[in-house]
Amino acid sequence: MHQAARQSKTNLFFLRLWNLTKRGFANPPFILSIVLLVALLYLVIGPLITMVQSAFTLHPRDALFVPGAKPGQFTTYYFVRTFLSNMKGVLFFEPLLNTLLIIFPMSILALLIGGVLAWLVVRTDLPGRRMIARIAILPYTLPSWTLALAWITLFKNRRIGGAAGILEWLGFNLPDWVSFGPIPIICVMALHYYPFSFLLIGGALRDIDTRLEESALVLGADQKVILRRIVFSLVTPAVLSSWILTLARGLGSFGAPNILGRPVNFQVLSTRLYSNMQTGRPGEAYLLAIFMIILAVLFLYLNQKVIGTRKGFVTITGKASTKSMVRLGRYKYLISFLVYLFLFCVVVVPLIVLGLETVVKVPGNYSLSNFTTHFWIGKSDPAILSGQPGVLRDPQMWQSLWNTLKLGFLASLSCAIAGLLIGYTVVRLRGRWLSNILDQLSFLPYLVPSIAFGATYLSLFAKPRLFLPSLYGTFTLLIVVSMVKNLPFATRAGISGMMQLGHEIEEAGIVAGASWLTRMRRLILPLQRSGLLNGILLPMVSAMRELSLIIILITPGTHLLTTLTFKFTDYGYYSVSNALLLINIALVLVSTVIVQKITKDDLSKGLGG
Amino acid sequence: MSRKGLAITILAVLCVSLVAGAAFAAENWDEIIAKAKEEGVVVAWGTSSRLARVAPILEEQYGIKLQNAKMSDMEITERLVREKQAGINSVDFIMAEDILGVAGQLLPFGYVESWIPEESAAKLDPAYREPFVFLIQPRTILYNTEVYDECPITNLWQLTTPEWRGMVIMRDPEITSTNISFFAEIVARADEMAAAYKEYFGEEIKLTTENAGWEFIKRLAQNDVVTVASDDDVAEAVGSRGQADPPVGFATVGKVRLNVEQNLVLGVAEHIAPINGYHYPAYGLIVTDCPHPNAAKVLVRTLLTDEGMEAWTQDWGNFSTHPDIWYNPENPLGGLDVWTSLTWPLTLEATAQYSRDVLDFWILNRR
Repeated sequence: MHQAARQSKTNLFFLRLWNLTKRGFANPPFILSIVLLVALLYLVIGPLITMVQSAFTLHPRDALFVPGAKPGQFTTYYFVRTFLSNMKGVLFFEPLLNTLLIIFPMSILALLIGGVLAWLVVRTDLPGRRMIARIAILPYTLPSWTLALAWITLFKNRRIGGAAGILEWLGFNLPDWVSFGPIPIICVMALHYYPFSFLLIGGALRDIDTRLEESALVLGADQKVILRRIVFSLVTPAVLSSWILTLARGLGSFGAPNILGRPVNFQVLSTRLYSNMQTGRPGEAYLLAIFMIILAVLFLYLNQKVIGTRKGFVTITGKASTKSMVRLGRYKYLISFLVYLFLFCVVVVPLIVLGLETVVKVPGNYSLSNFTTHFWIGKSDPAILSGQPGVLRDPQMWQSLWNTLKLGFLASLSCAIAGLLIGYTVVRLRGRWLSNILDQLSFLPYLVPSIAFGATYLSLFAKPRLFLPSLYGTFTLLIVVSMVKNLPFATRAGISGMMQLGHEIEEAGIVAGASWLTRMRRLILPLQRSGLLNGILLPMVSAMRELSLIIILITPGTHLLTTLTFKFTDYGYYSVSNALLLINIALVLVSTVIVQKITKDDLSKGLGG
Repeated sequence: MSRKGLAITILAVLCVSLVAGAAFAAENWDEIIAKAKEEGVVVAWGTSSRLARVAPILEEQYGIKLQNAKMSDMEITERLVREKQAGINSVDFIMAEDILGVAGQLLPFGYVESWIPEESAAKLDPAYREPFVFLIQPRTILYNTEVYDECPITNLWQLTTPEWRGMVIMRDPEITSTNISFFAEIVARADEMAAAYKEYFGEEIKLTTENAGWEFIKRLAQNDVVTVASDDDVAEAVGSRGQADPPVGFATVGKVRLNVEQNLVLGVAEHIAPINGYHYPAYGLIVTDCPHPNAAKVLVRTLLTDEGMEAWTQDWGNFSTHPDIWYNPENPLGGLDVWTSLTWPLTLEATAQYSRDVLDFWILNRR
């Protein structure tokens, strides 16, 4: 290339940069987006880079085994071991196969449950459907291992010896496949994740203009054709989305496979990842994490592809003023009863079962003489659980309850604000690459397995970096990690909120001579108040019941209810840990109700009338 | 460097640090305690929840608050290394069980040091001084005394027979480095394993692997061993009442306390060929450049008293390495010297040489 040409090219570059900067100063959303981009790169891409780095860096422990090796040097050892050596089967392919074996049936089951419930609640005259809508989403607000613990309490068999499960105690003999392994894991996870499908499909069903169906009816189509050609077609994007979201979530789910899989050596990717972490092989753990992220991205890409081609349908939607409900006729009370029975089994029974464990003195004996209130309100007695007092008397419990509330509130608030700002820039800069990148980046944390995410934050924040001090061991770090992990929820809420806010309002502000900050403060934020509050609910719920994300970041002195529960499970004090779990659940439910009252928002937004 | 070489190097490093450790100046306890009171706090990470029970003693006697966290053995090493590399000094004392991590990742880099009060140092067996071991715990076979009058296992090879298929329960070696170290020991002592095989089956072992140690691990792995997350789960599985056909389990002897706490019926095996199990050390190490060095010294000193060790020693099979410290006399088999002869020690040599391959081998054969 000629000197001059190169010169002019460089000039052109600087000219562009200058123009960009000039335009940037005139365009506050642009500046904001750059700030957000830097923050997201650091908080979302940073952990990913750390993972890749660790996966190809020799760990100090392994350096002990390799002749002449120095810790920290580049290595393909973990990669070869995981994907190519004779260990590849156990370390990678089997867990992968098992994972797929779990998540596909699980997601379809979840879809079926969620879809049927959504249809019943939104499109039929089912008695009590408003209440059903509220109860149906509860499983998602419980910690994910609640159901697994309940399952094991109910269905535990002779496999791991010890005290019998309730059914065995009643005299039933259960085969292993009922007690442990893939089938219980699939059931438990489906029951935990079906609210996704319920909410998304319910929303789509609600938004279908029933006039479309009426016109079809007028044109002579029968109910079956209408259901197939109109309802199913219109709901397909929501169905696919919830399917993919459930798949992606199931991929990183750890609680249920750990409790129900380990006793029969049934390993999935997440439990293998955990074992790798525990046995001092973080490099291999990160490799699995990276693979899981890639897989999830693939799912998501497929989702966008499918939805993208179906967008034509979605745009027709619009809310109908009147709704024609499908009449269930004389079966409606029977169906309503069955739905309530189902919800009773998946929501109330597990809680009762766990509650039962907290009031029996000797585990496995459910007769009346064995009942006690000690684990709730008992004074410290050296003969029982090494003097552990009842949870309500334990100052540790109150401290961690307060910490949990604090974390839930601060993480969700900062999350919602970040979500709103991202939503604002994404919508304002729509069509530009910045908008797309921000959109995608803020969704990425959803796909990173929680355990791996927490672990990378440990290495990322152990030292002061860039402009940030070392946050390790501080409560702030817990807030930051919970905020970033839940950003996807808040950003979705932020984007959809901003979409509804026309550009005209801000333009009016510009015409009136208001600066950007004033416009933000006086126009956007007040108008988005409800959107902001909407973004709080899901992050709050998940921050308050999250364990695997923060377990590695907890230092003595900052316990949360979840980590305290984990600690007592570790000691084998199950009565205490179950009591703590119930307190945690109660706290989440009460906070949810309060937030819903304040924001007039509802997780089951308007489903069921 | 071969793996043997590695072990020798580590030992050499240990010897050097032993000499360095001897260079401490004479202790003035009044001064140490006064400073410790000023520090007011000691932060400890430990593998045992019982560390928390030392807290009231420190609080009452010295007004020092103990902040403790329980972590798994390798997690302690991992986190300490990360903190040290980041220049963070947040923890004063670690109670560690990670033999390889302590010897290979912490001591050589000077992240931790063995510090023993002069008054006690002379009384400790040299084997427990560098690194400083303050507690010895045996892991052995436990059985259900409601069903069996005496331990149904008299030879480790029984665990590999069809009769005990799916009936042996232990803490998952994949998350328990001491169990893996025991496997390494079994490989290192293959001759003893071969002799025990002959004793039980009356014939020489036919090998499909390198030696009888590997062979044992292979057969055990293939005998559908049930693995769980904690020794408490093992104890509960083995010792719950009313079982017709209870499993046998491999767990720390201290779990027998659950006989009282949870009304279990656990019994401890008395003699198994070639060995009842193993005993593993808990190191008590002071972190270099820690924020509360004097309070940490007071903690170490407390761990060398009857009172300070009671949290452990009240249970069977937990022993202080200090010969004068009380242990529970109800212990069926006797004191530390008895237990150290009934069980194998975990050696750094075997762990360094075999633990890695043994874990892979175990995982591969469990399929």
